Amino acid sequence: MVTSAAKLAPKPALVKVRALSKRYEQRSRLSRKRFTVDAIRNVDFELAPGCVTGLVGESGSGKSTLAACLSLLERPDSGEIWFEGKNVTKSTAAELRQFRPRLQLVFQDSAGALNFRLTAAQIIEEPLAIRHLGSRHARRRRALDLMTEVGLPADWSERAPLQLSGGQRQRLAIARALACQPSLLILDESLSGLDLITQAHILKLLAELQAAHSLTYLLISHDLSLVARIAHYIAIMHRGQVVEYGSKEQVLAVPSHEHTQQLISSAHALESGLARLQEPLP
Amino acid sequence: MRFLARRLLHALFLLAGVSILCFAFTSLAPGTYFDELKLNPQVSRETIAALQSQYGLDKVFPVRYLDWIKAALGGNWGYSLAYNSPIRPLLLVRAWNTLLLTATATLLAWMIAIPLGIWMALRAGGWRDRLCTGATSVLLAVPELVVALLFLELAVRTNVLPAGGMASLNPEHAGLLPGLRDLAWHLVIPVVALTLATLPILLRHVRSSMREVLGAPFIQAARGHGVGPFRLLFRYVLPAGANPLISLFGLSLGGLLSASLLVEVVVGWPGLGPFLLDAAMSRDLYVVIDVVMASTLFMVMGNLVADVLLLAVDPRIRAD
Repeated sequence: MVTSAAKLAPKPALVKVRALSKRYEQRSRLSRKRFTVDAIRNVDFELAPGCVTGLVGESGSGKSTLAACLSLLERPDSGEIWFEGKNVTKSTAAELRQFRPRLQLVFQDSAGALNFRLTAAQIIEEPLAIRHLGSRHARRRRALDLMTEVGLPADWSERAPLQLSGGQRQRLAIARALACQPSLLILDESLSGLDLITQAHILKLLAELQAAHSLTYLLISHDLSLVARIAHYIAIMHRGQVVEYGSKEQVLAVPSHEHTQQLISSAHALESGLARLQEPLP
Repeated sequence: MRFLARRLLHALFLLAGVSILCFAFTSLAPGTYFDELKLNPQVSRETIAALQSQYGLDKVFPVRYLDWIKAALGGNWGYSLAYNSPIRPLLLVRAWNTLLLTATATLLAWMIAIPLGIWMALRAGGWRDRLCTGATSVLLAVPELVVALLFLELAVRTNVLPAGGMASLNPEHAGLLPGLRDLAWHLVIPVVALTLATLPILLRHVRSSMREVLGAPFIQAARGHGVGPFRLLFRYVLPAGANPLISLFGLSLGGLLSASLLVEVVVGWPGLGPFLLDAAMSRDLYVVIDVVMASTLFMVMGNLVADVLLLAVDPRIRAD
């Protein structure tokens, strides 16, 4: 189903990240002493247009901070982010308004990521309304079209997010992200917490949408097996650094970093354990 | 509708429970209004017994309670022994005075707490936020009585503000506008004391509820979609953080008749505070019960208003 990275035509990178670092200052609860935490350190990588790049790492490795920095929801302390050939690292508020629709985030917690006071259609219309795109009627029509495209019945437009299941909410979040006509979707653990069947449905939907809209995905997950199913490129994060980056085949076949080797062997162990569980009982 | 009916029923049960407890406690309290009369050799035992019978104080607790309930439901709130007058007009005048004071203080406290709390939440962890949080801690530790006494001391020393009461005796304050100005001037000390007493709690709630919402994923998502700061604040942050504040607002409404009792006594404001204190001291039984019940009614109504508002603004509660 997934085209190999080697077969994809070489194009200029959609996103280039150079020496990106972000640190947070915190205080000890007891002594109130200040200390800093390096959430990401000197991160370098690129996102090829039209490709799926998987960003894998354990909890606390800095994946979500990297996503927040890429979308400039958090300002990096140092380094550069180039998006569609422009250095966006120090964008002004006006530049950010131009940049943000092109890059959209889909979060893990779909219940928390959708404004519970708005209806499904209002949620999708919101990004259009803030840019004053189209009339109210046109925005509603676009919202209904997007709902249909992500597999939600259009007559659910007046439903509140909490009336939808986790998978349906994730579809709604994807529809909202698509309303901005982005070139890059950052899926931050968007498939975590969903059952396997729903995961498979969402993965299929993502593949269809990628083909239809020429989207680039950055799929952030702690699950290497899941990422390996759809990614063209894989970046491995460990303690705030990208310790390995390359095509899926290269990373999985010849892992150079010890942490990648551990991740791969853990994934294999899990898969063989699951396979043993599926064997018939003697 | 079922939600409202359930809440109303709950409120009625609460009022009934409080009225029984209130009656029981006042009946258990030692002494009666006529105890001082008993010490007077010129008043015979028969006279006292006749007075007790006249006011129904010789009856047993359940009978007295039922008589009071029947009368209260018919609009008769009982008779004040100390004032020798029906309680209703006495209580209404004082309740109005109390409401004037507490409503002004509550409004002022909310008007300060909402913008300041949001401002603190937006600057959480910074020196300005820490300074304000420290100031609220100090205010929380200082009783409102001390604040009122400090201002009274200041008023006496400087003669800038009237030291107590609700109106000046000076005839130059006669007339509508001078009267209103005089009233506003008299309101300053108790309103400031009450506002300073209420403000820290409101401020902390507004700050924490806004902080919680500001960190929510849907706010991050909205920022990611390019929602500007004003739209973010008014369409996302404030409505989402409103629930605890609506509950707190209900408590504020509920406390309108009871929050200022001590301050009223200290600054001599002719509200329910001094009225209740005098009634308790002289064992004017029905006045005490009526003031407590009026305060409870306000508390119940405040909570009911908060429930209705929550139902109106939060689709999650409607969905439940």
